[in-house]
Amino acid sequence: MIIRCFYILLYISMTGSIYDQSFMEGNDAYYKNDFSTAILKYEKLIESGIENPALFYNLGNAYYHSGNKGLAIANYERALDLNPSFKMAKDNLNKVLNETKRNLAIPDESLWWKYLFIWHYGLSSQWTWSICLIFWITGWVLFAFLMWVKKEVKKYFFVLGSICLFVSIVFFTSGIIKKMTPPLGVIIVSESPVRIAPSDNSPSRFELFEGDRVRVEREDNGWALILTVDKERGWVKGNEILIWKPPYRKVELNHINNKKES
Amino acid sequence: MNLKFIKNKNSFIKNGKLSNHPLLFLFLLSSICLGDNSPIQIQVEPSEVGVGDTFEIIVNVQGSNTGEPVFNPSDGVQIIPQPFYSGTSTQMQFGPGQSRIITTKERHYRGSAIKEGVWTITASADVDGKQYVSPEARIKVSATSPSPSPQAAPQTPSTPQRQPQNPFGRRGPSTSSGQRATNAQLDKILIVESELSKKIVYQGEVLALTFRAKILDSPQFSLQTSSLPDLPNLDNFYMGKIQQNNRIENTSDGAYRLIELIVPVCPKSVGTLTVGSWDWSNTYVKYYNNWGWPDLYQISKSSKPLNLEVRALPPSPDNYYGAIGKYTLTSNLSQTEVNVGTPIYLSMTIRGSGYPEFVRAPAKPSFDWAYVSDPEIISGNLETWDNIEKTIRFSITPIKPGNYQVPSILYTYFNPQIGQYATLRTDTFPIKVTGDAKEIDNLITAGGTPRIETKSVELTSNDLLPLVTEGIYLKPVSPYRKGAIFAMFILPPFLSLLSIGFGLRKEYLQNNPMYRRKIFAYANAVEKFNGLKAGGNIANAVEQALKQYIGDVIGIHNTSGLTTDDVENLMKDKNIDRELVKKVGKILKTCERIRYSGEKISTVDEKGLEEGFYSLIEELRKIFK
Repeated sequence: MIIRCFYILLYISMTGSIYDQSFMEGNDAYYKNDFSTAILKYEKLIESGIENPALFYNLGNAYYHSGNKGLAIANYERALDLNPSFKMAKDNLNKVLNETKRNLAIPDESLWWKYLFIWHYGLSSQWTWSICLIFWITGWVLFAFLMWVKKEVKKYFFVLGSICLFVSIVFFTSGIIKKMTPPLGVIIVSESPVRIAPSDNSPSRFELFEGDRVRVEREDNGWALILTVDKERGWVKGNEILIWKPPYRKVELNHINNKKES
Repeated sequence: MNLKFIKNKNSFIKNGKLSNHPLLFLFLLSSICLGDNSPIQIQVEPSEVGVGDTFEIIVNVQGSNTGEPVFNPSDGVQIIPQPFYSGTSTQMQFGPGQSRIITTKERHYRGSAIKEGVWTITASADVDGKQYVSPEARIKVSATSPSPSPQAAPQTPSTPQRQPQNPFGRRGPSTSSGQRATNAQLDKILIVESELSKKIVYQGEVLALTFRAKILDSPQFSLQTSSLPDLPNLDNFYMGKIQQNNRIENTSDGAYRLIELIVPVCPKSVGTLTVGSWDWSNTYVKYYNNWGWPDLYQISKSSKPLNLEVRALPPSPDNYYGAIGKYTLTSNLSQTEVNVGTPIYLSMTIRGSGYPEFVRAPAKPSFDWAYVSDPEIISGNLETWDNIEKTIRFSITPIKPGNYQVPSILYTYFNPQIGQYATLRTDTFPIKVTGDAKEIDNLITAGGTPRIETKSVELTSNDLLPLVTEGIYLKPVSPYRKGAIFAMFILPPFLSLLSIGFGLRKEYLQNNPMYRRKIFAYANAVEKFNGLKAGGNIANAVEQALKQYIGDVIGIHNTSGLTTDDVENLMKDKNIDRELVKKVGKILKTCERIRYSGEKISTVDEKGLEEGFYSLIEELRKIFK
């Protein structure tokens, strides 16, 4: 048993060091202005299942320096999605947004909804679920002691337990809303025509530019139905937009660069 | 016969007369070991080849129950393990008082010479449950091909070789008359026919073209062919998936194995079209002649050519897109209430029989309130022409809000059975388009939407902030995370409810002393017994504990004043088994007697009493549970 535990700890420490090493290699490449290597290293880490705001932030920086502002924005947004109070990511995002052709706002929910769930926007999904779980467990623990405590304190246990469960349900609803909300996406090519129907033959209604942030309502056969901040809908090609929610998609850089050159 | 002979010799050996006949023993041994009587025979043709040449190996396996021969590896030659010819013949062997069926498997293999030298080839096989090895066959491989080259031999399908000697002493099966098979008989072995399901058709109409080959099903003959000959040229037709049926057909000439190929065809042009003959020329039949040798006979058979008259279609109406056959149509609209800009799908599914390529999509409808995409075929069974299915889908993207109707789409096809055009139509669908009242069909020029919203941001620094390099904990998301979260949601309420359940039980027990007494009767009885036993009077301990237990479970407060009869009566009132009541009475009376006598009982009796107490209380416990 002890040997097994030792091996598990060894494995954990070794895997940790492998990821740390790869991360450091990415950072070194970045400081040597070898941004493509840095991107490769960071993307590989994301591919292996790491979800870390600092990793997305660094990747955003590397993309910015390699001239892919759309991808930089998407990765800063990913970092902020995991940690909404990540100041550096917020600042860098604002800087890159200012450099885009137009700083298109994120399509938001209605005002009354925003006020109702004001507390929920400042929290990442991870935090929301953690709080929900903490209150859930606390509530049930209080209920578990309900029959074993003195009569005088019983009612306090009941009230506290009920409050905890209520708070937990509120955060559970918040978590579900966050999960169900259509994800946001960023245009990653210089110009992307938005079409009426998901077909190359369909006429283009308007154009989106690199860095424009939209909500992705649906994906269908390599096309994404998007909604802009002013409630315009249309279809863009799936490889011209990067969704910033998990599962994190791998980016085909060749395709983007070719598109940019053309 | 040989087996019998060996058996006799074995009994001969057992009789202990072997030492007197060493020569006879050696003879017997050699006849067994050298494989002269092996049920597997092997022959190589030709016996001398050049490096790279091919040769043929013929293997015969004889027995009641025989397996497939397997070659033992040889360095200089390579043998293809799959035979290019397989034949089986069956014989009945009669012996004194017994008969058995002997099957002979004949297999022809192709081999190629790799290295120069003299190489031996042996094969082994399972015969009647035993593994046998054939005698060795030798092949000489020289650097150059001996003349004539074996590769130059005609590649006729599987040519069985005449055997230099009959290895099994078997005669091949003869014709029923016992005479040599005549050419007229041999000609009846194969019959080739072809047939068209219709003589006159319309252009594009599907009809069935059937080819039949009937092969006489007889052990006397076998057709030497490994594959069916090619079908005639059908360039004037579109061809569907060929269906092959094999069955046995009985005729006055005997049973025939029928191979039937049904080809759905569709004429490409009008006029008289000809279907060529199905040619079975250069087909060899293997048969056994009067001497019992296998022999080959070449036959050439072909079906008669067929003519088909193809008529042109009558002038076509509007909405005709080329479909010929018989069809039905179903339609569906994916949504009937939709937002402006969100596409919906109008699907029409056409099912029926006909040439699938002619079932083309209709022209797309046009609406002033929606954009309609070009049609796309998203699914369809197109293999079997008598049951095809095509789904044609239009995507409709509304561009104006309001209530509209998706009108019927007409679809006309030509029905050759009645010689007329028929029209199918999709259903009409009402549709409600919601969204802004404004028209949004004006294209927005590149550069921005009309109501573009921008955000101004304040920058803390004009430069990009540096990388984060420290204080980072990189760890992949655990694949068990979801399971762990789920468990964390499920377990607390479960454990909590369990705890509440125990709490409630505890409270109930506290509030109901009788119930509590009943629940803890056993524990209390044992506790009392042990307490009194420590005082040294075991009879008293048993009596008091037993009475307490019965009082607790029956519900009597004070049991100390109960007599044995009282206890028995109480138990009888509760309808407890009389035998058990007697047992309780007996043990209580024993305890009473010991108590009144005032004598100390032996350790053995003490132990017996204790055991009796425990066994009795266990029995009572089962009843009161």
